[in-house]
Amino acid sequence: MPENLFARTHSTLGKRRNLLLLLLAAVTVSAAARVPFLPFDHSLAIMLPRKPEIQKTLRFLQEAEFSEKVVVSFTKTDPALSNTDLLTAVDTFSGRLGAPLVSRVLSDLSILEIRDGLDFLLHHIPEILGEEVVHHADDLLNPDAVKKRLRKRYIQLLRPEGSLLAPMIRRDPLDLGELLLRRLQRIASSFGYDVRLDSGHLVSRDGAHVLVILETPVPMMDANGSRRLLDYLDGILAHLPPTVVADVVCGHAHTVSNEKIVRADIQLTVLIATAGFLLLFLLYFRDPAAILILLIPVVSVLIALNLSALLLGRLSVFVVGLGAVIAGIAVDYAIHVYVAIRNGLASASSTIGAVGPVITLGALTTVSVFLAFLSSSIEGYRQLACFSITSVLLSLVLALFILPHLLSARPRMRVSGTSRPAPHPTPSRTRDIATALTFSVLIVAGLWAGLRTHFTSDVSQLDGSESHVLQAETRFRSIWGVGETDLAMLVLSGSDFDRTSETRDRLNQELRAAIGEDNLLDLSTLWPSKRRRAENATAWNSFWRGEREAALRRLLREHGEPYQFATDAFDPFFDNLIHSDAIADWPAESEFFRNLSERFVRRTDQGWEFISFFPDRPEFVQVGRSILRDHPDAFVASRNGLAAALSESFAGEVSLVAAIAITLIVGLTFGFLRSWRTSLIALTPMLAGGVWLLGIVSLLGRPLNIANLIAGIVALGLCIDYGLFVTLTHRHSLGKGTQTAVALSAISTLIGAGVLLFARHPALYSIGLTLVTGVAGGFVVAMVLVPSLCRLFLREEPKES
Amino acid sequence: MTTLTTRFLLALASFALVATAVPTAAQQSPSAKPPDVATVLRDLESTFAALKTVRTQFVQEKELAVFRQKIVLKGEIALQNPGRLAWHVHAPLRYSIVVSGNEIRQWDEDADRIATVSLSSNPVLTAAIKHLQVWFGGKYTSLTGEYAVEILSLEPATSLAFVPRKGTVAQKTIKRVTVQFRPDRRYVKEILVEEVNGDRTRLEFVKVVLNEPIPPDIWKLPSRA
Repeated sequence: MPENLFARTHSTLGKRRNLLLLLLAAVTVSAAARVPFLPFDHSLAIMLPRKPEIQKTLRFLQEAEFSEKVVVSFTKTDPALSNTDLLTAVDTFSGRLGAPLVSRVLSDLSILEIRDGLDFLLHHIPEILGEEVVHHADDLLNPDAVKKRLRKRYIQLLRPEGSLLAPMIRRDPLDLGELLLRRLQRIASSFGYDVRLDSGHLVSRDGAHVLVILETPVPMMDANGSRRLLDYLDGILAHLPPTVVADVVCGHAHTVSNEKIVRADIQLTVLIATAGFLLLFLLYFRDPAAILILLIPVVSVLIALNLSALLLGRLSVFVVGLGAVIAGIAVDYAIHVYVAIRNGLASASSTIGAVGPVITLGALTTVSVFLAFLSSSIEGYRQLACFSITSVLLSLVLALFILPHLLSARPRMRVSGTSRPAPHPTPSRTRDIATALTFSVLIVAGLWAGLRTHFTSDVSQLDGSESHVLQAETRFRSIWGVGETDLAMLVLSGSDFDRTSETRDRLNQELRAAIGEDNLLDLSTLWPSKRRRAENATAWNSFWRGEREAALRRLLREHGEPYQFATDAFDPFFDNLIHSDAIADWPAESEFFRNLSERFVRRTDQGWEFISFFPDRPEFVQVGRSILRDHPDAFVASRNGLAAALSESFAGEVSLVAAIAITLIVGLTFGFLRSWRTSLIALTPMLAGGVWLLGIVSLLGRPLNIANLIAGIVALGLCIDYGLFVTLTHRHSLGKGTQTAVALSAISTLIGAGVLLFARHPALYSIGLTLVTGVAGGFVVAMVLVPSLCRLFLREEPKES
Repeated sequence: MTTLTTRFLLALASFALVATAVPTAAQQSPSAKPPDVATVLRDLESTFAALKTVRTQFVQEKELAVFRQKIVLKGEIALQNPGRLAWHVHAPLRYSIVVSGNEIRQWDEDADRIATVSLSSNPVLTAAIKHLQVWFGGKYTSLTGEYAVEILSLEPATSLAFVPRKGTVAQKTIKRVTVQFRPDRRYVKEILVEEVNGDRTRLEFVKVVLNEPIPPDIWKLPSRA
């Protein structure tokens, strides 16, 4: 008999009570001492699906999205402040930056580098442009075209800047460089940011703002490093003139702000929850020993943390945060044991023997929910399962076999409102039917509202950054634009630079043909592969060999005469007309070319990564993926595609977890109750809780997010406990004690989850909202509807022993 | 007509000509400047600061290797503080540019159409206007970071030479800029830009009228043909 097993175990352990308590105290202290040294993981990636496409895209976005960059946007608050003074303030700021927190400042572009870079590109036009420039030159080799070009050059030379244009015009009388400069301008202006260059600075259109980009070795997810970095920047920004303000925009600000908010939320919620629990237990039970109820989950969590870390190697902070909430739920078992012991007329062993199976069933249904999480491919879910199962089982064991020994050492006292024998209320059948009908309507209404709920995979909605961080980003976007968030990326990896760039050229050629020239942005338009450049140079040289050079000389001389061009005016052009066979390499050491190419080419541990950009539209992404079908070393990184993939993956994961959890819960319930009718009634709170949870989230106009889903499944696991206990109370005529315990369990859970409604962090708030609505709904149904259903449908069932 | 080449090169030109906004300590070598240069520059800047309007005709001589002979341009310039500038070329071709606040309008006889662009949306033109404003507006102390200033003469007229400092952007293209002022020092008489490649551009101001109301027509561009 299970009762005998529970009772026997209780009695056996009771003989070694002091030793057990001593051992438990030692283990608890040791576990608490080790917590600060456990390997916690702050990365959000652990909470995301393991699908290769998703992981690859996330990794790439995290690394390539310049997450190691910090942007500082300076604004002059006094219109009377001159631009020179604004730039001086910016330069003073930049001059103070340095290692170890800032590795590079990109505010002041070297003009010498720009000029040399442009000269370099213009010199290599034939290699870069290939057939395009050959055709263009061919089109211009006629009297009319030459005449027009020379007139254009003449007017340019007579303008205020003409004398400075002269050397360039001499090297390129036909203005062939226009083709290349258009490409360069397209790439330079494709960042999506609205900037202009002023005295080597990135300045806004209205001249009132200056942008400084910093590189830092501090990873975005490093909370301590991020805090040090922001403090460092704030310290330097404090020296700005009063008429200049600055916004610091970076992922680090989110990390620091989220941590600050979560910490403040935890402090607030723990304070409120502790006060609530103490008031509930001490005022209701009027027994200082009731504090022991609270210690059970605390001890369980401390030990479970250590065991999980030992088993898993590392623990996500998100899991620990969620697990702590769930462990708080485990206080239920201690409440049930406490109420049973304090209310029991028999010995503690007999009481444990009587309530043990029911409480264990409740714990097993909760465990089954988390067992379902083990089936997930998301590592965070599995961590959550491991940690929570350990916590729940420890709480169960401690509640059943340790708590009674601590309570039994104290004088017995009646728990108020639980005195037995409690007369069964005898409400009328009509009233029970009315109750059943009312709740049916409410459940249908909840279902109707719940069906309108939609799921969002946008994890940024769970970003709890403070308003000043978000406002700084809003100001930044209004001044500088939105960046490249609407672009997808074709990412190609390879170990050999030249061979990989050849593959990139081929892939981009296909992609360009499919989505249109203007829709693809890549470096190959400005610097194709070495092989392509060699081919281009050959085509250019063969074009000019023969009569064409002489013809152009003649045309320039003849039509330059009216404009007084010197006979040797364009010798610099002809001196460099035939390109040598030596093909130049990308001048990677130049700051100009580094700035130009860093978005398109990245050095990685495995070699090189080439990146091309195109509009993040489903049809383009699909085309890109189809082109890459035979290229395992390439993939398309799409933010929109990622959102859809995440949504699909989350939906799949949650469906699987929910299906397994519900199957296990139903199976356990039926296995224990041995009656479909009774089981269905016991499951009603779970059904109602789930439906109302969806309905209320929908009525609040909020989409379901990942936090809602996880917390929702947990809420269902709790609701089934209430249904089970109340159904068993009716079936076994257990009296008010169990109902009191159920009420206390629900209230304690609602306190624990309800305080999260005071949280400022959206993830914590979402968890709180889900648990409160789900648990409250399930509890009300368990206390009001389930007894009516039991009276209506179980009255004829024979009493079980 | 603003080709891409022009825009990019104009940007470079402006960087080469316009002083860097922030002279650094390393660039400012007190020993390289005669003590009276600072005083002269301050005096000039103070005099120029009192100017509300300037209207002048100009003659620009361009001696460029690309031409077989000197090209002479004639036209008219008007300035009105703050922020208005008109540059009208009458010969050998007609070209006009008018800057008003944040907007720039251009016209030339070939295109025969007015092109309006925001000054702030065109970095190169912005830089070009700054270039003009520095030399015409007398803000010479801001140039000392990039240029060593030498007094060529003080009497009967002040004449200053601006020689790019070693390692500066200007040094790549500019050999020397000589600014000659009117005897009363109230305005510039002539600016001569000598480039490293031997090209020279001389801009002479004639019939200068200071602080007189400027006729509204000067801010207008030629109407369409």
